[in-house]
Amino acid sequence: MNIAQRDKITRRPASQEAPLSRGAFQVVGTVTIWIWVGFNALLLIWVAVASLKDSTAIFSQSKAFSLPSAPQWANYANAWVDSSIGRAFFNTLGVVVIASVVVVAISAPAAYALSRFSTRAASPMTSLFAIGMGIPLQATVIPIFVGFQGVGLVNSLTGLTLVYIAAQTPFTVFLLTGFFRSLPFELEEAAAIDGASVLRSFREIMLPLAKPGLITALTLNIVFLWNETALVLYLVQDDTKFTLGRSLLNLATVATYTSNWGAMFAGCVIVVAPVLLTYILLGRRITEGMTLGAAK
Amino acid sequence: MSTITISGVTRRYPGAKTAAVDNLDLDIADGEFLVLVGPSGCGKTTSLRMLAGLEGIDDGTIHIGDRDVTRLAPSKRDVAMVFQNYVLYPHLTVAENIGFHLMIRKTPKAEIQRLVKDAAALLDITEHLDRRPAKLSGGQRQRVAMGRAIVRQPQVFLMDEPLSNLDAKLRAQTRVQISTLQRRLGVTAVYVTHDQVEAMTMGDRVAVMDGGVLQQCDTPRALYERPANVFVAGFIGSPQMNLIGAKVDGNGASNGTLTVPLSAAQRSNLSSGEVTLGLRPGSLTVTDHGPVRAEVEVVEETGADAYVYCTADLGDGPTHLVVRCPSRAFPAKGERIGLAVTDPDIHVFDGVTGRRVEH
Amino acid sequence: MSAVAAGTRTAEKGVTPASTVATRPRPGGGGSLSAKRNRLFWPFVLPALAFYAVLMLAPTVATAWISLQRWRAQGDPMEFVGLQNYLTLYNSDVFRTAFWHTLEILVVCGVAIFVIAFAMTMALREMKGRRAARSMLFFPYLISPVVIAIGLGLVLDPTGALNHALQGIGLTSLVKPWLSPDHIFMTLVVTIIWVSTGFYVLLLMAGVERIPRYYYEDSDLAGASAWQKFRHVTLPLTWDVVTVAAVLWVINAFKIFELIVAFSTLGDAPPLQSRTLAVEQYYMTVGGRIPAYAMGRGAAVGVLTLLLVAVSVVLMRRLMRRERVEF
Repeated sequence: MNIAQRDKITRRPASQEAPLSRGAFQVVGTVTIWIWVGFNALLLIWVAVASLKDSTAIFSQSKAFSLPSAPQWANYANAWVDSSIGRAFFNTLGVVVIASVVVVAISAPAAYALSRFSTRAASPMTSLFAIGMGIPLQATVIPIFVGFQGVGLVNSLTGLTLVYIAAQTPFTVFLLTGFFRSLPFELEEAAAIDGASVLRSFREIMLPLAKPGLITALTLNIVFLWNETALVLYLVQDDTKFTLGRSLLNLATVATYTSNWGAMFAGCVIVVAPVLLTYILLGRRITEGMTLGAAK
Repeated sequence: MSTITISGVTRRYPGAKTAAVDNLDLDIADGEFLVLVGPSGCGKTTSLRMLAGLEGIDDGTIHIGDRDVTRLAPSKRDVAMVFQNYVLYPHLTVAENIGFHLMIRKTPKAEIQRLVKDAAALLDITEHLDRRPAKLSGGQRQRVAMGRAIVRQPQVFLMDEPLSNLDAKLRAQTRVQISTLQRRLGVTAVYVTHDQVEAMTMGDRVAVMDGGVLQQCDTPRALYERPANVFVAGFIGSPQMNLIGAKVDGNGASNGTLTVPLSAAQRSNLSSGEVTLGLRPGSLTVTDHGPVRAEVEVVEETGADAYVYCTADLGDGPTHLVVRCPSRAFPAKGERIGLAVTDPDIHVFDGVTGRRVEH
Repeated sequence: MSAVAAGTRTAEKGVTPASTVATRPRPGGGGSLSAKRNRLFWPFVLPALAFYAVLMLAPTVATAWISLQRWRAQGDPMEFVGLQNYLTLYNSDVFRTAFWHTLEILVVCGVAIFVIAFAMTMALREMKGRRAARSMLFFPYLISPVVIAIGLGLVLDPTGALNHALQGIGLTSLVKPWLSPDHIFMTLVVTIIWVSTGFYVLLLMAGVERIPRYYYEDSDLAGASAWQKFRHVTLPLTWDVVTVAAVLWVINAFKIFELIVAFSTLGDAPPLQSRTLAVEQYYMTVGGRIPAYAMGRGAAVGVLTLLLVAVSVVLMRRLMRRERVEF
């Protein structure tokens, strides 16, 4: 049995292995963590429950903690149609999917070239992209806004999509560069000996191998852009073009006047549900992707 | 007094069918260098770790001196361990690495410095004290790891395959260094390795393990000359001993044209009519009129000797044998040769139990 | 990076380090293959570079230029005013408050997050069900800040769950209007900590999990206490990950924006007590019921934010710098 195998087997709590005192810290820590986790779960459930309650019951003194007597699905219809969450949903879907696909499509070749070509420009270029991750949107949005005004891209989902692509490029290139670097070089050399062109070797050998990395990049982009509301706040004032976050914000603001809390929480559920689903299905990719850069 | 007494020690991993270590009994004398050897998964490392306290003990006891350490934490057992990967802290200098345990135990700085200097001098790494492990060669790192063990002046040294990460030449050199060091310091040492050459050359006694069970614990010579069972016979000695199945008949034990006489004592101690014969490569000679006919497959020349790997036609079918020949007189590849058994001392093992059967 | 370092070391010593760190081969390796490849470098990189340059780099430069103007966006002529905008900001109480708020969030939340995240990481190592716990801790980070604000609005409303619960267990004195201007900043700080910690736990756990077990075994043999193990094994061996996490936090801290906006009603700007640089810029330019369109001053805020990020990252890396270690 080699060390790795033995490591797996002997992974038992320290307290069983040899008399070590984990003591007070562990107890306090464990309790704190479970309370925290409980709070998170509870909040999620609460919002979901609130979405099915009658609006008057949500903040009322007596009914705040209780379950609804009859689930008010009307809240969802209300949110979807009357408050245009439905339209925002499709706006968001379109923008996010297109932007994510394009950003991965342009970042993959770039990352490939940066990680495996030996030109002099490779290293400074990599750094250039890396810096991009640190540029806050506050430093770019004003010229973009004005520029878009000039070409009619304000209040346009197309404009938003273009900005999203650019904004996510640095991170995606960074992520994929790290990923491509980890793939073996010998495959391409073998392909070259067999006479494959660079393009072909990229398409037929590298891309399939890189699939997990690409899916991770795609997932992370989708999740991040799904929630992106800042740029929408700057660039889109036409409410028919709102994305989900923006639309929900609107809904919440309006709700302070109309007290339509039920619909507001239904809107929350609509926004969160796809992310929750993605997290359940692709959670491992998300967590691995996020730690890939850090723990390289 | 740092004797070690291991009594009936057993370790079972949850969910495993067989025990990783099964009922181990070992008595190690003060100042002895005991080697635990065996193939991967035989339980030698687990045994070492149980001694260290890094692994729980399911059954049995361990005593160091007269102290029962079975339930004691590792740090209270007064043992020092050299890990296979050396475990050098990459962010600390060599000096800090050596003094690590002392620092943890809050030994005064001045004393740490003194002890570290002494250990470094002993291991000849004084010039590296201010460097980081990343800048050292494999052999130097190994010595730093030893330094950390020595500086604690423990009752027992435990070493888990400390040479396996070194290249062959360095390994041979370091073997000698470790043996010399241990003798000089006089500290009881338990050393784990999978390499039987290391075991034979370093140990005062060698404990051979397989499948969690101790096969034999004896001096190297005894292991070589009187292996207790088929496993030990096949494990100790390089190239491996020829192990040939044979049947008991009127003349002794036979397989085809190969016949070996059996004493009355041997005959009476057998549990069946089947035996395994053990013949070291040196126990066979190439002669034209040898009773066994064989064809040469490969010849390995080591400079001092030549080992002839051949296939013999015995009764049961082709049997592979290794024969040692003088370096200047050996048959060629493809040649048909005759073999004869020249050594009167042939190992006989019970065909069913595998145990050695004495004359 | 490490391939070069390893190569240099080997060359210096003339011996092969015995460790089993695989030396990555140099890409291409020279020869006709790499020449053919390198010709395709620019075509491969260009699309990404184009988007990046046009919609991120160029605007950054433009922002700097605009910050020196007085401007009300499209249709309005630009008026060069030099550093006037910066001076105006410097003299503005509102701006200065926002500035300090931003720094407070950076430091207070940052320290709190790291201490808590580290403590949690260490506690999680020995817990059953730690993957599930980790997933649940991390999840809020994936939720839209708007939803977070709304959800917490439910809990922290004067008639909401928190106050109910406090009253229920008799701590009526602790009942507060958590969302009122006087308390909103503290609420924000706590919210940020609550949402972000899970992400940093994720990062730190990845770093800690990479530490080979035998370092801890060796420190067990030494008799190290839990604190000693943390200080002498865990912390130094995860320092690289901690540094990366710290840089990520610095970058993210300045970006916090939607959360604050969503905590207040959209029409009017959030109360002064919760403003940060990002919020200021928004309401200076296109935000609010009646946008102010002070593009020049807004750009100045943008430039300052960028500078602050840059300085903070550089400072952070310098503070945390240490010779790279590999194990």
